[in-house]
Amino acid sequence: MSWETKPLLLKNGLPIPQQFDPALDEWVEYTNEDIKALRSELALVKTELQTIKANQLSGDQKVTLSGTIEPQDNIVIGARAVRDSFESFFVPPSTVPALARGVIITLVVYGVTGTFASGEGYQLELLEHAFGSTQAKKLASTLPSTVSGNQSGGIIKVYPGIEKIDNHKYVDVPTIINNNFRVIFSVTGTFQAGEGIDCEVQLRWLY
Amino acid sequence: MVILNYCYAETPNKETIPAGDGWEFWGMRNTPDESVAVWRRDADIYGESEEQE
Repeated sequence: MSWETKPLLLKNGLPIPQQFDPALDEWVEYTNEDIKALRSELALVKTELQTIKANQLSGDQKVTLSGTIEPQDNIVIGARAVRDSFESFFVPPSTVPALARGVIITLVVYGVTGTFASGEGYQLELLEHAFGSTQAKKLASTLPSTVSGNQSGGIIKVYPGIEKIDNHKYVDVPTIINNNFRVIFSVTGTFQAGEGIDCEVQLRWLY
Repeated sequence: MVILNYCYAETPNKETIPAGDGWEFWGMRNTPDESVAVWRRDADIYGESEEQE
């Protein structure tokens, strides 16, 4: 390695700014052009760093997530059964996921028997509790229905910012879900032994 | 009471049995707008279809 043996360039006995040029096999002095080129490169790096910092602070930084989104099954909170009277399904705070902001509650109706006067039928209701299982406030309720098969059942959706909808069977409530609530299946009508509403109550968390 | 995985069919009255096997009479559904006989059978044995055969 000749750069180890070639003497440095000196001025007044002191080394001057220099670099070893392998093509010339000797030390050569830094020129103003070299320094200008370095300054230009540094300016580019500085600009890029400023852009990266600005994107990080503004949230515009692009990132890529990897992995898969697992499909979420509905949770059955009221097992399929023939019901001919009121039934309540309490959802305590310990079962509400910490990041849940909303919920979809579905009443699945498989079959209906019984005698129903005008205004009677099954309903799905949602109550939230301010404390424990008391101090309830009704958030949503479907209207009584006797429909079986197509267009049967009911859905209540709670999520902040959604459009408020109430078409009697499908109720959307624009609010955040309380971590302490109760789902109610209620029914009015007259039933012979074994008759009623063959139904199931399901729940799905929204994040 | 948890029940079987029933599927259902409806006929105008309890004297009219749906086509196909396995149907049992469950009850009537009487409302101001309709009166139908409701039949049921085990969907795990006979399938999910609610259509009359």
